[in-house]
Amino acid sequence: MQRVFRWLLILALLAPALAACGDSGIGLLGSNTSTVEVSIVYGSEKRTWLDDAVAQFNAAGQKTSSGATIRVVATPMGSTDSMNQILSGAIQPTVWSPASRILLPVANDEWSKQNRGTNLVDENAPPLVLSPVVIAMWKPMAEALGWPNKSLGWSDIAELVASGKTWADFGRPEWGPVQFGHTHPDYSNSGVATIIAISYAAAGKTRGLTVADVQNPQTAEFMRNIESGIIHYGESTGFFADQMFNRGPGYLSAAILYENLVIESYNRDRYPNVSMPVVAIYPKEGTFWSDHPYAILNAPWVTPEQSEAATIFLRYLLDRPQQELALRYGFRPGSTDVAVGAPITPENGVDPQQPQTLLEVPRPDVLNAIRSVWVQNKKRVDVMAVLDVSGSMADEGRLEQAKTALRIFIDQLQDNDGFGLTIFSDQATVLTPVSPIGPKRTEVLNRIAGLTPRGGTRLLDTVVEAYQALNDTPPGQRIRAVVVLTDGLDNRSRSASQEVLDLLRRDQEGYSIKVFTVAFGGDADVNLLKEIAGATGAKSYVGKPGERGSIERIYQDIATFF
Amino acid sequence: MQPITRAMGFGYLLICLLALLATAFIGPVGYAPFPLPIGPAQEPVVVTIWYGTEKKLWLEDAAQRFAATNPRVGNRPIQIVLRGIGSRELSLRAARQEFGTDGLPTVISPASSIWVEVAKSDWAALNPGSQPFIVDKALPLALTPLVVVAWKERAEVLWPGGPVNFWQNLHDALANEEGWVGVARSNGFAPGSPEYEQAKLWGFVKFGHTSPLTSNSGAQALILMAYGYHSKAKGLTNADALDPGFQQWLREIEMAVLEFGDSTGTFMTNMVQFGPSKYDMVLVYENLALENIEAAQRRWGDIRIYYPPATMFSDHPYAILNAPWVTPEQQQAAEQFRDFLLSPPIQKIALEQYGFRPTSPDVSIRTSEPSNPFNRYSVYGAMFDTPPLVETPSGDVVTTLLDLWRRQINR
Repeated sequence: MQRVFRWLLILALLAPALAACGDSGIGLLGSNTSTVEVSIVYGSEKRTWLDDAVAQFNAAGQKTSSGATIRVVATPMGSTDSMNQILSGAIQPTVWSPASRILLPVANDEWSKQNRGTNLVDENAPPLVLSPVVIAMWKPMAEALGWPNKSLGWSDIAELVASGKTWADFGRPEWGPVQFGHTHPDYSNSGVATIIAISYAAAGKTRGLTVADVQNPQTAEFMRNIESGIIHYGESTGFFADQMFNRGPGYLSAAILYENLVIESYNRDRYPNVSMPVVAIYPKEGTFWSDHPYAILNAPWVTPEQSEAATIFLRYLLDRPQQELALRYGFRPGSTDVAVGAPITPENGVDPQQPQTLLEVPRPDVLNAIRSVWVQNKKRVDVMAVLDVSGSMADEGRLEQAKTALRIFIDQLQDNDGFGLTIFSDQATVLTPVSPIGPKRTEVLNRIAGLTPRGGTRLLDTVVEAYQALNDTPPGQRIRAVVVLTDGLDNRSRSASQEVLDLLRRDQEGYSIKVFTVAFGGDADVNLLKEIAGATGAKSYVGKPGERGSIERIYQDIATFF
Repeated sequence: MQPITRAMGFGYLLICLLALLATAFIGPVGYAPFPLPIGPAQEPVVVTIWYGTEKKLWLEDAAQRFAATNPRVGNRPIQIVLRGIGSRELSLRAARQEFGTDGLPTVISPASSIWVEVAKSDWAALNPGSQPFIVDKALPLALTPLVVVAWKERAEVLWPGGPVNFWQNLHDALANEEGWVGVARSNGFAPGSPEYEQAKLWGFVKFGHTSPLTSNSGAQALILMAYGYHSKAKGLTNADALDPGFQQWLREIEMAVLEFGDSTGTFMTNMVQFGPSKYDMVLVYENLALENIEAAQRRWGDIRIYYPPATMFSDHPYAILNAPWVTPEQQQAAEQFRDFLLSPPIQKIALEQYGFRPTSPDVSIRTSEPSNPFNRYSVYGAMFDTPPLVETPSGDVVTTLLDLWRRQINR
């Protein structure tokens, strides 16, 4: 009896505690403690905004109707790149949110060919945030071209670059040549927008562009002329913005960016040394919107529960707090309930009343034709690969991994791109000087296959020699680059690192030789390599020898610049 | 004494425990971790309504208010299930019993009576000798005419003297090879005039309406264009639809329409999001125009509603089905919800919050209340009086127009 009484007492005392657990309680009966993951690949332009939103959403622990906790994992990726990876099956996200809906019909077109006519995405997927594609230019340069009294457009930029004029022709020799930048269309949405706009300008149209228009030889010539002003390509529109705002008007005169990036240039925490104001030119012929559609994939790997969870996250993103946050980052809200206001103001170089007209998005077959014309007429590159074959490269199989990556890199070069290879250990040896890769491709690949590691690390002198050899060629005609990979501290050079950095910093133009650096394990001096790359406006990387695909990804990324 | 005390204590604790366990299982959620239904089973009467998405917000709002009244048929509670589907699609699917994952409809409520007629004739053809598809007559829930929403600056270049030659001017502008600058010149704005200089930056004339094949507003647009071309408001015939002059004229308009969306709502949201860059003008329902016009004005500047010289109403009929899968209880419950929708308070909400014209004679739109959107948005061109309505053409003529469109325009 006493024992029963004691048990009853315990239960009576416990019952309120159990009841208080409510629906978030300890799962005893029918409660669901599982997690549903929503993976999102998205155009990197909205990274700052989305990072914040994802963190807050995950912290709130929202649930699906079955009670599973939703966890969002968002990965930034160039828009064209992510499309290609989804189509090839390399990645299998729940949601795809590229920078603009230009790519949605292209993705459906390709997907339906492989999947018996089904669509991958709803082409009316709702936009999350909006930002027009603009020509970002230093305000005094735009004024020198007659802006804002004269409206400027794609054709004006094309004419300016093609004319061979320099800023000296406008009475401003200190600004140097007209140097122009846009991203690589195989990786980035703004690059796609740019080459479409150039094709329209070449055809003198703003809609109804046909394959015949694009294949007209005049379009090729027009494309070649504009592309001749390019300093380099690249995957990230944000990287261009960084380069332009940090390095100033002598480096880049204008770049194709999004409006929100122009607004960023006025952020003095981010860019303390911007030498002149930047303005957004809304092309008079029309432009495109980067409207960040949120497309839940209609793919076999997406479960109904993931789809439901993705819809819940969509609603969260379109809610007022997140939309107001987006506005603070310089995006126009996708939600119609939130008005456009500061910082989208003329004081930040932008005009909320623009754009006034758009270019028509061409059909997928026309887009393919545009891409082919671009590939044939893009700016060529002269690149010298500098490879460390010192003894330590034998560790962890570093040299073998580097060789594989280098072969993939070479595969991405067009026949008339220039390629050279220098190896170094105690001495540097130019295995092949920079010359068109086409005729020597097989031979170069064979020679790479035969490389073996031995000796010391003569890094700096080798870099200087490669740099100077390229420096003998005239600037501006081709993209010029050195790609260095090393795993060690320099122990054989006569040059001091400071001297080398001073030499590299001497040329401050956008057309300067870019030295990309890869620290690949071992004792590589990551900071010095970073300084070297930074001195030239290129990117530095740290590769992880043990990690599968690490070095390949680095060489792939470098290839996007050419 | 001791056994009695113990028994009392034991009894008290037992009662406490039972009470607590009871709350734990059947108390309000949050306090009841394992809620279980108690009492006699009251299977709800489920009323599934397939409706045209235009009235989504109003219907959802009304359904919540209805649930709050604890509605019942006998002692069974009524549960309303709403499924938003395109008007044409929902009517065809209901009549053909293609239910998919949307449940079996008790009621269909497309945007316009045209589609109830289509469903009725489809049902009759598929089920010869059966009872009619619809119980009695489908009552209209709310009205809204088709209007054009345009950026004021551009509309004034298109219709310098107001939209008198509404369709003709629109046709000429869309067909103009030079785009807006050509429109400005032919409408009397000389080079150098501010209108002409502005127009140079506007590109081509961009007009948006939905696809007649998938959307009610698109079908209405097509009917209005046919009436517009023939300058009449009633008696549209098959011969009118097949007139080669009309066909050519229609092609010239529609070739300039960049894309035919499926959702009328998207056009108005696009006006807010993309401003004049995407559309110069769109053909949408008045209620959607009223709902979004302030947001559009706030982002992009002056925008106005223009009424075509003759228009059509969407009347949102509420058709209770007489099909074999619908029980008398469901029909009764559906009637209760219909009466609720037609009650003055809910009709007033349709007007004040969602911009519909009430069908209840007890709710007037001619009030001076500031909450009345026709007062609030009169500065944007909203008007109490609609233009005259065109006669709804017979099903036969509508089919001819849709076939024509499918053959000649659809892409």
